Amino acid sequence: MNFELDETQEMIRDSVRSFVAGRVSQPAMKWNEGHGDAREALCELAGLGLLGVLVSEKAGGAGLDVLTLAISLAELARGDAGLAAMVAHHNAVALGHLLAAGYDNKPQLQRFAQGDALLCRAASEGSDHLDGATITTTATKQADGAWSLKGHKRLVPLGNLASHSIVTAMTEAGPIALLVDLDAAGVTRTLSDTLVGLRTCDLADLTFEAVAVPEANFLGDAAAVASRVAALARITTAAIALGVTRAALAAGVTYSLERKQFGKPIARFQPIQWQTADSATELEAAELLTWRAAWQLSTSGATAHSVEKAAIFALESAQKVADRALQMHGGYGYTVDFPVERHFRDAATLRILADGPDVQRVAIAKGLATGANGVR
Amino acid sequence: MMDFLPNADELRIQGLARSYARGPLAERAAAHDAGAFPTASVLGLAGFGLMGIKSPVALGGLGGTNVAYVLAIREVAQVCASTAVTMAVTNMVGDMLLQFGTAAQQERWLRPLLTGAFTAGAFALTEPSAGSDAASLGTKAVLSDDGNTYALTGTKMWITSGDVAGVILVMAKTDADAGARGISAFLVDPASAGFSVGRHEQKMGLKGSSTVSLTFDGVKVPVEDRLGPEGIGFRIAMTALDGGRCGIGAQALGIAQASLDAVLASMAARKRDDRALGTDQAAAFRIADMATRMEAAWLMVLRASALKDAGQRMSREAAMAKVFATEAAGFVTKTAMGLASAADLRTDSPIGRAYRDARVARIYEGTSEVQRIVIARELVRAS
Repeated sequence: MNFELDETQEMIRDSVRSFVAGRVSQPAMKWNEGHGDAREALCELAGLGLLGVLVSEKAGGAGLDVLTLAISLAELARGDAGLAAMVAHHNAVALGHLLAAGYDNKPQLQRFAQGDALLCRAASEGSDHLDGATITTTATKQADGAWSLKGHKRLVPLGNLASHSIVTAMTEAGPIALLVDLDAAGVTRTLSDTLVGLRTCDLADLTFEAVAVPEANFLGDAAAVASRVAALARITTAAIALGVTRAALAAGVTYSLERKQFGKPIARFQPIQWQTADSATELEAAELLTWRAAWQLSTSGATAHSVEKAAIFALESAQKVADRALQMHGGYGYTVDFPVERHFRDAATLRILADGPDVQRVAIAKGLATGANGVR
Repeated sequence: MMDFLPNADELRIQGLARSYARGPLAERAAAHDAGAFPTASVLGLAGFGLMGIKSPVALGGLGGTNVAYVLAIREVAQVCASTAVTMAVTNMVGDMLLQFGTAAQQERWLRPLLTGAFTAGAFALTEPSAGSDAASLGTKAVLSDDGNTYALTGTKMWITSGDVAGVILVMAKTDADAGARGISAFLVDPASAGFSVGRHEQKMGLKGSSTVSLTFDGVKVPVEDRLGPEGIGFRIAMTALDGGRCGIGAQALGIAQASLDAVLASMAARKRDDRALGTDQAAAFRIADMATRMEAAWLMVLRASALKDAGQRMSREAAMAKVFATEAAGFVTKTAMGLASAADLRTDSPIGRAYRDARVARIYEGTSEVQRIVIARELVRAS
């Protein structure tokens, strides 16, 4: 057993950390207020090799594992969770789907992996159904072999910036996935409504009106890759939550050491100390759960619902820790001048990036009931 | 005899607040959340006497009880928390004029506050380095040699409506060596020379309410504008906060109610396996917990208010009500974010707005930590 990062992981973590310090932390305040966007930062991340983390080196990617991706995302999210959400979506959800589906168009894959183009995955259809599996978007095979795609997807990360989207759709034979050129005729992209948090993350509503998709862009049965894609979405969301948690904890500690009331720094009052200690302990636990699940996904594949446990714990810890850190800031924490205000909003919004904790609790319980997750 | 029902007059006042809130205010709530100060809404509320619920009818108030006051605040907060906090602070300043002011002071300051001639009242206690440690404030009031005027110098922070108020109740030290007993209260006309409004805080929520810093640079205040004798300013402030805390508890519960209502509506509209989500136990249990905490908190707010109506000391009960109600609101609004659909997470949806609006309730009018200090101190005092 060894809890140390390896050399590559440390090197990547450090390079993301310095990128965040130099290029993310300050502009994040502006992005969050709707001034400018993070497009340039995404280009720079491509230069660091962070847009093809899981793609093999042969195919033009970095050829790294899920754990290394998670470590990078946690660092990035310390600067801006919305930026990290876009990177996670491109790498883990969209490219993750493409890789799981055995997509082998090398030049196209290389373009995505090197960040020359961004890829998104449009699965959610929004507010009408809690169950993400309900798909009303349809794909119909045409006489020439192409597919005709029709439907509406909501809150798609990178939906405005991406060149292509993986789109899940129903056919008579069940759910499939198609790789769709978003500049094709019949595609409409609309900027989604601003959410409470993750405001740096590009979100679009996509409408497909009889969009012709070439046969070569058929990605097969969507259900076959669903569990792999869901696991990648959950683990990267957990990693982003870790970054938010760490940033909030640090903000709280820094502020509580500076702020004096009753003649001493508030960090010397017990109620503040307890909150800091609880936050630090929860961060540690969330981090261990997340790294272990990511390591399992990198090696043998996750067992005993370790991904779901990590995601629940990390998401809920982020909310608690951000809440405590904001409280320590007093009125300042309620203003946009301090990043802790953003951490508090981001923490509550992270659940849009994967199934919410309640869905995952049910998955864990079902696993325990059947003995499938190895506890019984 | 124990009686948990508001009386007819209290219900009448609640009804006034409800019909204004659900009528004209509801139409403007989104604009207020987008940052528009609720001038028209405040004037509308003043037209019904709701800016001085406990003040006499003869002066333009409603002559109501503290129970009526929290009922009304909750109604308004359920529709627009920004308007509710503006209303709450104005009521609080009016209450202090009523309790500690002379007839002449009430005529000069309270009447325009109630009729809407003043847009709002402001309460200036907190300073950049005197937040939870309020007694350590540094604003000074120096009496002139002829004994006719004070000169106020200092900076106040987080002052609700400080830029639009017709009267500002300012706490300042008249005796720098006497600690809390060296603090006096002053009624300051914002047209005075030397008074200026500083930065407007950009906040996560309550975006329609105005939060500013204020600078007093030798502002001349005639002695007749001192509220109460010298040295009781801190007592006035703490009295104001006892009542104010009930108001903020009620405001927080109004916000929580809006969030719960919205999440129930959202779930009713979504179905899973053809069953309404209310039958989903994970969601059902959360909703039950939300409503139960709100109910308990509301009873605490009502009891503290009823004690105040009975003329009893209620610092402990007010602090308990405030911390419990605002933490309940934190729980409710956070849980609603977890139960909402992705589309409900819009920043301007009822659930998104409630999440942003509720958060400050655990900070202003004494943080949760300060409430716990008050509660513990009151318990030690009684033991």
